[in-house]
Amino acid sequence: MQSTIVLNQAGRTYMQGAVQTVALQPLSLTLTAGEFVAVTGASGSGKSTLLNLMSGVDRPTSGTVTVGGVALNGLTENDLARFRGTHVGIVFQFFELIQTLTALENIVLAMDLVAAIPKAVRRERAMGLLDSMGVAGQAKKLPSRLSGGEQQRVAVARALANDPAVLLADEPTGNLDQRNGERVTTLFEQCVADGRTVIIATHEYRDLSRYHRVLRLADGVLMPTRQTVPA
Amino acid sequence: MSKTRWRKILADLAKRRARTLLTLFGLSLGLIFVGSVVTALSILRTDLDANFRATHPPNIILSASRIPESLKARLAELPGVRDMEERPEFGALIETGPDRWLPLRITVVSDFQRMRVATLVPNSDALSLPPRGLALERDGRWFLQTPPPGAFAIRLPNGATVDAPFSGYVFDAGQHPSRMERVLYGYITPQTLSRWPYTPARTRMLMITTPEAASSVGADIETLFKDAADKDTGITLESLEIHAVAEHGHKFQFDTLLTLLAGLAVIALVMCAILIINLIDSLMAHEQRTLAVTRALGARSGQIVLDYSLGMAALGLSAALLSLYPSLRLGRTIARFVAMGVNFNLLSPAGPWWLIPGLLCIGTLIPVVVALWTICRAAQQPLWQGLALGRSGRCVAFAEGFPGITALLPLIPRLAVRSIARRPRKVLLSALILSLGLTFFCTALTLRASMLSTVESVRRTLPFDVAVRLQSDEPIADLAAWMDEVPGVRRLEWWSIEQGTLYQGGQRRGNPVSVIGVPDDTASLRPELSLGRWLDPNQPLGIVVNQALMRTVPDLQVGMPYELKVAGHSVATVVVGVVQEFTPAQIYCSKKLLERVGNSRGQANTLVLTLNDSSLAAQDRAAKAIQASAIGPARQFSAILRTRVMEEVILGHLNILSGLLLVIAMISLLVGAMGLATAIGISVVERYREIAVLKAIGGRGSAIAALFATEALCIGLLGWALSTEFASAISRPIVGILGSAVIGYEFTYRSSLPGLWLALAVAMSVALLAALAPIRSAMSLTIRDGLRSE
Repeated sequence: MQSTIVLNQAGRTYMQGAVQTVALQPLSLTLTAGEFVAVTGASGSGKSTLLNLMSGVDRPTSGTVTVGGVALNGLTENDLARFRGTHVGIVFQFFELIQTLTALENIVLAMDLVAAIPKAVRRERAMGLLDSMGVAGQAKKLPSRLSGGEQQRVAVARALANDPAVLLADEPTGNLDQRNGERVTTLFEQCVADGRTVIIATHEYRDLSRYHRVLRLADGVLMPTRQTVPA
Repeated sequence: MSKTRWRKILADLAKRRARTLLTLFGLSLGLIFVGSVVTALSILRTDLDANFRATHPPNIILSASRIPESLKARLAELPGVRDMEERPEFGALIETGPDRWLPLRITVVSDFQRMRVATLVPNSDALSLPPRGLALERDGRWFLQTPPPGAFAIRLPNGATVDAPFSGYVFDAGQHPSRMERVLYGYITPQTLSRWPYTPARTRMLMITTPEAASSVGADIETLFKDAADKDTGITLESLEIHAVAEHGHKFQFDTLLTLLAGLAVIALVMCAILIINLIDSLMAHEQRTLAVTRALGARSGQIVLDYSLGMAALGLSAALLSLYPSLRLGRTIARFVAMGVNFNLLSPAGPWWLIPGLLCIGTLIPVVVALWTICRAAQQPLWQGLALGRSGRCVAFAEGFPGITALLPLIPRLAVRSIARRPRKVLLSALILSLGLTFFCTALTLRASMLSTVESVRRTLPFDVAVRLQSDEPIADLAAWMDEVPGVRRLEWWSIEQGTLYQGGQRRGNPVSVIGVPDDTASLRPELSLGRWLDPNQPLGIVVNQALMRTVPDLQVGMPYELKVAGHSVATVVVGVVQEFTPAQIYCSKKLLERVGNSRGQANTLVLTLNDSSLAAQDRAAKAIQASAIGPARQFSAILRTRVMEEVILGHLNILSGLLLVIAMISLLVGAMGLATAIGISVVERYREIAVLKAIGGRGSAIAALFATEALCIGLLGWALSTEFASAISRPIVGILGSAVIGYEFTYRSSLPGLWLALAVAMSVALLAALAPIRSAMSLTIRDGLRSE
């Protein structure tokens, strides 16, 4: 099976004044294409830090991170930005849609920034993504006019805009009611079915069985976990 | 107030350190602008007058053929006379470079160590003039090479040239600045004069009287000289200038400068307030949720208003303390610049005692006053509304109309334009700050264009090239023969100029002024009339006055009869018109009338030449030829006026104003740019999450830079558009008011079209420059930090 994400003794330490805080102890990890992974743990356990390292949002203070065969350590900020745009899709807990752009424009923006998708098909593709998320009818609305669930589905569509191999979501359902949370999780499952690696940080311990693998973090340390065979 | 509440106020400010620091910077900037103008104004208000008063200026100046010792003694004994000194004065030329001669007014000072009236201050420690030495007023150094030569060649009124060793510079605060007048002022001792082959035809007595006694002393002086003339002593009173209180010759200009600075202080205050509204608004917008939570916990509106007002006061006081030193320094620099422009010293550079507490009060109170409305509004809004304010921000209705309009734009500019539309009030305030700086800039350029246009109108009204004023009348036939020697003369006219005073009902109306007798068919004068009509040969007793005389004698009226007294002879006249011109007070009449009064038929003392070539070089050549050909017959000049040089003199007077306005425009542009930078900086800080998201979804540095650069350019464009409206609204009255204050009539208004486009280029450049630092900060923001921000 093809390795998509490889962390080799990757750790992250922050300095707060003279005090050193270990957010993530050095850990080694390999995730393969098409894996659906949950990262669980209490607040401050290092979930977001782990996702940040995988997405290139943050750099490890020790070890290396390789995603899709690309070693992130050696990339410049601009290269990292381009890498994220093409290889990684990110979904945030608070949706983080650009408030001044419509739902459709939010997705086109992601494609415009990276320019990996031909210009002529970007709009059509964006509409297709919104359609697949069930929010095509809201395409021309500003985010402030959408419900939380709708916003998060637009955010997932945006994350998929450049057809990334990896999808990272930090507490994507944390701000949604149960029904909307379920709809969004189902969308992630569809992504996995399409062959993408999906990693979700969550502190919910319900329905962990739907994930192929569950990584448990406590105080920045990766705990022994169960692994299931991808469906 | 409890310690906890205080801690909360400080913690609120410290929590968003970047925004607080930027706000503090912006506040300090606005306060520096206000503070520097107030400092300059407070120093100049006292110092301009104090410089002049320190010289013990005379309020009565009499000019006479001679004043014997007995008459001096009687003058000194007149009731109300405090002091007096004899100071003969005459005109000459000084060679300031190879074959370059400039006018020189020479004053004879009997004792440099014991001056009591119109005193001079040596520029060096001690000035001891050698018997043949010449001291120069320090403003003349702008026309001299550095270091000045050991001796100057002086051409005396009778054409003789003498060498005068240079003794040093003196400071004479009573003189008109040399740079404005294009005249140098020299000072010699009677010993020096005695060695020169020339004796002045008249002397001057400078007198200081009590203000109440000025007019009675004037009347007594006239009586004393009339008695002396009646005794056939050959003593004649040539002119008598009386002021209740001595006034500097450029008092109008100084007053205008101070008015301009006072107006600027008000505008700076407005600009500072707008800058502060922008900053405080931003600060308060992010406090509204906290404020609502505080109210939910039981805080009363009054407590909230008090807490936040104190917070603003603390912020304002910090900004005031930060801005105090730069304000004082910049204010002193502006004051020094103005003082240098008008040739004065700064006597009290520290400013008045109230300056520092005043600036601290202004700095502390402005943010409180500005924030009060926002605080009160927030403190009284429904609680549910305040608590509902999420961090996703609101998208105002105004912005919702934008998707359709901006759909044609590429996505990044579209995003920028919509971000602007989302915060219309904030953007408008930022643009307003920039537009005020630009308004000054455009107004300064319009004022400059209008001044140049006014100078051009001077050329139209005086369509001659050279005027030669002699010290005495000569037969016109002799003068015509003399002029045959001057090449390139196209037209020649003979005028007479005398000193005259107007009387009405036996009462003097103003001081002696030049009375210019012009030929009936003159082609060398095309006056611009503001009232009445020009001279009519059919009404030989008509006289025309200029607006400068109208200003000094406000009750002068067209159509009213006045007695004109010239050289002791009177003639009944009628004022028939008023002309506007850039000259001191003067009167025009028919030359025939002046010949009748002065009994000088067939004679003239002024030649007015129109040359084939009107260039400055041609005028210089003509002037030199006239001087050279006058040496043989020993003709004595009062002045040789070249109209091109006169234009430079006029510009010299106006440059100080337009220069000051331009300096102020630059300062306000700088403040506008920095205010804009602060506003964009805060906008970046407020949008950290948005920037982080853009980066997270693949946006590179160039996209972030393009976003904020587009926003800045839009604000620049809006600022420019606003400034064109403001400038067109204020520049016309400013041009009019300044013209009326400086030259007595409105400058010819000319809007500066190149200035408009230049302002656009400046606006865009300033906006881009202002965006540089915020863009750098946005580009260097890490996604992690951005997402962690609130």
